[in-house]
Amino acid sequence: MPGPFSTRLLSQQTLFLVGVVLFALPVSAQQVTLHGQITDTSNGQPLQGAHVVLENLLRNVHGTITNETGHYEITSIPPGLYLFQVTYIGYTTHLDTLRLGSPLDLTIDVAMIRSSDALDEVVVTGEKEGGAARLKAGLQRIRPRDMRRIPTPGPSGDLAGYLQTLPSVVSMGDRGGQLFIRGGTPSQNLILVDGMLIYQPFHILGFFSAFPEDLVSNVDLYAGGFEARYTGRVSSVIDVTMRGGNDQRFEGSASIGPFLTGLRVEGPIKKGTTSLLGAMRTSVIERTAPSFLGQDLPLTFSDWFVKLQSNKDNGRCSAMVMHTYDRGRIDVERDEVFRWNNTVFGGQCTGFTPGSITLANANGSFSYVSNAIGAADHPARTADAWRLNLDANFTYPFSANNVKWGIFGRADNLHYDLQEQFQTLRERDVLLLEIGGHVGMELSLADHLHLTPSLALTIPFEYPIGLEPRLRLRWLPWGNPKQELNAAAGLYRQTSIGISDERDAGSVFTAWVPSPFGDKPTRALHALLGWTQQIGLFDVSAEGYYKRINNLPVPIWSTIARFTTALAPANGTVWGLDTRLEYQWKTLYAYVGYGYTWTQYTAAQDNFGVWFGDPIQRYHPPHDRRHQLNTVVSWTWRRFAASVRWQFGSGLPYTVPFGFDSLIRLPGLEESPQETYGTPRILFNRPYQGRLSTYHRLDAAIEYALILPFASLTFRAGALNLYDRSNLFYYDVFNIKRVDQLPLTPYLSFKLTTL
Amino acid sequence: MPSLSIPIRSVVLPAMALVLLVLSGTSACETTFDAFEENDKYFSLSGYLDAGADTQFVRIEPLRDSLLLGTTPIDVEVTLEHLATGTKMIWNDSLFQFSEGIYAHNYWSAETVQPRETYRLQVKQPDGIASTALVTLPDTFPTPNPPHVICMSLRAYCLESWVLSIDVKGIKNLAAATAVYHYLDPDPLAASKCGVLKVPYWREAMPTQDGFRIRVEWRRDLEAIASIWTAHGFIPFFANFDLFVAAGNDQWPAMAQLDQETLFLPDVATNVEQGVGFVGGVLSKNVHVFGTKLLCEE
Repeated sequence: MPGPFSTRLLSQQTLFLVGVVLFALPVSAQQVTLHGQITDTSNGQPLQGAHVVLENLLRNVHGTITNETGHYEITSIPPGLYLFQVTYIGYTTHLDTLRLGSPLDLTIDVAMIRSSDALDEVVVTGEKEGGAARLKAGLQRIRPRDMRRIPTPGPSGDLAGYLQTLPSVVSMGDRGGQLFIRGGTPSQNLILVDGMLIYQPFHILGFFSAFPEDLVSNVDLYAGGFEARYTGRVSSVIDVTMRGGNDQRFEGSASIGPFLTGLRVEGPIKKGTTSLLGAMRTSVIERTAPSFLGQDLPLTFSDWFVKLQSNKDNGRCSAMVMHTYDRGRIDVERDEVFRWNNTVFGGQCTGFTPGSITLANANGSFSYVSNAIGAADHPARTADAWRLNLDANFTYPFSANNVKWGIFGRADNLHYDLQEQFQTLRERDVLLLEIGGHVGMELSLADHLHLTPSLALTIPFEYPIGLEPRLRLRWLPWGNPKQELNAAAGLYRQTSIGISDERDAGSVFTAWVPSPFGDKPTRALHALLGWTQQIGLFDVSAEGYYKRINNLPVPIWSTIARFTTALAPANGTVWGLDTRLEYQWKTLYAYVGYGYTWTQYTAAQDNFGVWFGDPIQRYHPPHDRRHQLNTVVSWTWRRFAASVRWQFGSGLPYTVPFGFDSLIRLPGLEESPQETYGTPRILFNRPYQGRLSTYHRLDAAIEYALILPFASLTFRAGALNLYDRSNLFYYDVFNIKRVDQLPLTPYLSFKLTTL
Repeated sequence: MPSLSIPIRSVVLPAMALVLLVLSGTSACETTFDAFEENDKYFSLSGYLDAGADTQFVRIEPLRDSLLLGTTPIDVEVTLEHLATGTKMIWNDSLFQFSEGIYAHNYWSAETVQPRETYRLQVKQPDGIASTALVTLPDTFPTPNPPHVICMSLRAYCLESWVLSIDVKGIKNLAAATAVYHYLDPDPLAASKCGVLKVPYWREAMPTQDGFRIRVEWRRDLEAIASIWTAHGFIPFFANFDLFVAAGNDQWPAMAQLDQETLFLPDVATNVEQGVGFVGGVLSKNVHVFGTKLLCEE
């Protein structure tokens, strides 16, 4: 009987989908296609989500929204006279009159003028871009302003701090940089920066990542149900687009605070077309903590980023390099130093192919990650991985629809030296090659129903061919985006996986390895169904989701207290509900998000039968935070800004011990109490049957911008854990010691930005 | 939509702020957390009573201590009660150090225990909390007769068969069968001049009609000893060979059939009430097979 992932079954679906794609290709004659790019005139940055509308005298409207590179395209426009209108929040509306007819393929780029007066007064109507409650089948668009609303201890907002306010995202604590999205593990998240893979961009101090507010253009977060153009991960996608430098004038900023310092410089290389942006940040918390926290916090991190961007007539090209470094001890008293670093470089070009209406995007990138754990100068275990990636993606419009397709080729090199940690994985250097592609459509069936079927084909050299059909659906029952029903479903596959020892919450060491279960890679099934509703100034969303993830490697369970473990396959099941309420009036913003997640692993192990009477055990893994509540309130008034965040999380699972001993092995009387210490045991009944204590924390920040003749100086004062709660990070059962998260932590930071 | 926004501002937002304040105000800044599960298991008992030994040792540990015991004394009384007579022997505590910072409490008694008799080993705190193990010793068995051995040497002149078969009769459960080789340590810097190699043979023992047959591959074992030293340019002097055998009682679990992971599960191989571990009952004998005792041996 074919299983749920049977390729035979999938091949039928594939043929159907390919048939739909081929026969649906359009034949449009004597109709006009209009495309171009919308940018910010002050710095040349593309504006994603700008509304581009054409309206003729008969009030017939053609419209679209710009994509992440600011491009738009409207097809099948009958020749005639049109009012051309481009709108974007905070910018003066661009109006023009166009007579369309000849040529049939017309490019119009628009540089929008920023209007600060308009920002506070605009009342958003129609479809909004971004916002926590604008959740569309797992997809949320995150803007820099969203990050800024979260009180984080740096001089500006950060993606890491923002993600932790979402009901879908669980972090184990304020250290380690591990994010679990809707039941998936960190290594199951596909994190892209300008289309390039980055393995571990979240810093060891959990408020920070390589994506600070002032470098990010936008982020697409898919908590599940993502399209076929994303392959190789089974849980979620964090697709970050970094902004380019200002191509009109030079500017920069410098910041300093008790947690980190930063510097950013940018400007035109060729005015109006080519810009360069460089930024670097480095932490100082290791040096400042003893004096202002009264305790050691041996955590160090840094990152730097350079982006060269050039705008041409028909498109945009960019090249970037990013590097991150993290080092530190999660438990101050434990002699275990974690280190990891990422290096990513590559380039991409996006634009319309000459003489065509096809929007093309080509990427080439190299990504590297290195992980180590152990003594500072002699790491006990190391792992590194690199990926060389080439891909090209195309969007071909017809009528109100799009055909999307792409191809890719990847080489993944995985090297690890894990000593004895995982018995079947010790030291290996392996090269995995994979080619593949994707094809899909964006279909608008009437104005109310939008379907996005897609199919990914992956051809790894070491694994069976994979076919991953996916579908996204958007239904506007009343024809306007104030009420939306969104759904998504799909199959996902991951051949190289990051393994870590889930038995140890204090360990963030991750090794990238090929699937430890032969030719059985990790596979997942997603299904999501959600509703979004606008009620006046409120946005409400509720989304239910289901994920099933098979062939997960988990450590086997043993009472023998040892570092070494073997891996056993497990299947994961995740159910959840993600609800959000958002309110915005002028510059006052409030948000409440509640997430319910139920994650269960089912694992079979030989001695489970002897132990528990059943060879199969079901347990909730250590990231199964059942309830999570977040509230954020922020307000801006003139040069002041204030924000407050309160978060609550129910206790995470842990394995409850009832004691320790050292057992003398009696078989053969090879050991005796007087000759040997015996084998240390940790005694427990069943894995992960207990819950750590609940967690809650209040953070607040207030900001004031002082305008100087040449720059603005922003003061940011705030505090983490305002009521100084002892929040448990994890419990070290071997040493009978609790490790807490940060106590009350006040901070004051400064940021100088050129005007 | 101003008509809607005014009540929202005046009602909803203050309410949200109030919720925040209430939630923060009711929270306790200190949180206690006990990671351990309370149950009725108090001590770990690990070791065996040996009717063939003149001193008995059993490892005793309180369960709720840390993984590696410190030097803290254990406030317990350990007694061994002979059930047939009601006689109680109080055992002595002895703190053993195995390496730097690695200590363990072994309780011991110089009183002998008798074959076929049943004993209750009890570990009791002053508040009455106790863990007990009931141990029945196996019946005695005749001392095995080893074959006559002319030589045991790796030299070419020694034409003795490379395998010795020794029958152990009159036992149902074989607890141990260990070949014990003594040799003179050739390293001039060694603190002790006596070397010993113990090679277990109980796994390979073949059941016979009334016991077990032990086949000792002595030449392979001597080669193992020699290989340690020849690499350093020394040639050890092999002195003697004994076979240590022990019968196990009926409680003795079928150890050979359990893998280590299973054997170490808390409730799989245990005879301890209100505790964990296993206290076996054995009767051991040392069979001298070949050679002469070294002066450096005890």
